[in-house]
Amino acid sequence: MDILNQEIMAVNLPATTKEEAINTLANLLKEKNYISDVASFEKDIYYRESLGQTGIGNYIAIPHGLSENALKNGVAIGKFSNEIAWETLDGKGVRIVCLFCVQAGDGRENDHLKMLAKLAGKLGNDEVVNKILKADTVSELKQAFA
Amino acid sequence: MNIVGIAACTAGIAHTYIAREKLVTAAQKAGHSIHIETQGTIGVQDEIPQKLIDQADVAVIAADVKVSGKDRFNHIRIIEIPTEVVIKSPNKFIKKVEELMQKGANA
Repeated sequence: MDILNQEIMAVNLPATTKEEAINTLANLLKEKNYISDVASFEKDIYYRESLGQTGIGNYIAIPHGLSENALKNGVAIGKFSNEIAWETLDGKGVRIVCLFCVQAGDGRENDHLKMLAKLAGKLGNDEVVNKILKADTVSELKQAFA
Repeated sequence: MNIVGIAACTAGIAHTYIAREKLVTAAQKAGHSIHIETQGTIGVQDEIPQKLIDQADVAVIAADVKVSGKDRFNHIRIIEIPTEVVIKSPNKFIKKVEELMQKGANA
């Protein structure tokens, strides 16, 4: 899937808190020019967090938000070495964080957003989720969505 | 059963599509036909064909926000549920729909 960019994917990341995890991935997005400013992007992410749980179960979280700060659409995916406490639907912690980076504005007919939607749908597929949980490298992580 | 429905979440970016996938998988696994329309940031996708609406036994609305076109289901029973519930326990939810339809109880 074209929307997946290995440059904004990482494995074996260290983080003990949700804040650290989001910050790590937001910095990765900044580094690769997906966002213009980490702090204000995070504000939009936490706004969405305040509306409801983004931990969808099976150790996966999908923090996301529409941000004026996003320069392009994409999803940063990080696999963390240890379980991070998160508000989740199954009460478990989180090891994989898929941070959706979405440009604010009229998204209709936007091909990138359609691909992001398709990617989100895949996170609802148990087979895909199992592959993600088993992935040890960035390339395996990307393959999981194929 | 023939199931039609809509998925829609707060931001319209991710939960909508996860909910759709979970609903479709769970319903098909239980031997039902299902068509779920998504109403997200990108607008309506997989719009329900009229023919399927006519044939449907039940409409399932997995949404955290107001959906549009609910009046299409005026002739059948509508079951509404937050996206979180179908993402968390899709199989349990489909079972619940089966039970409700068997009982024929009114919402």
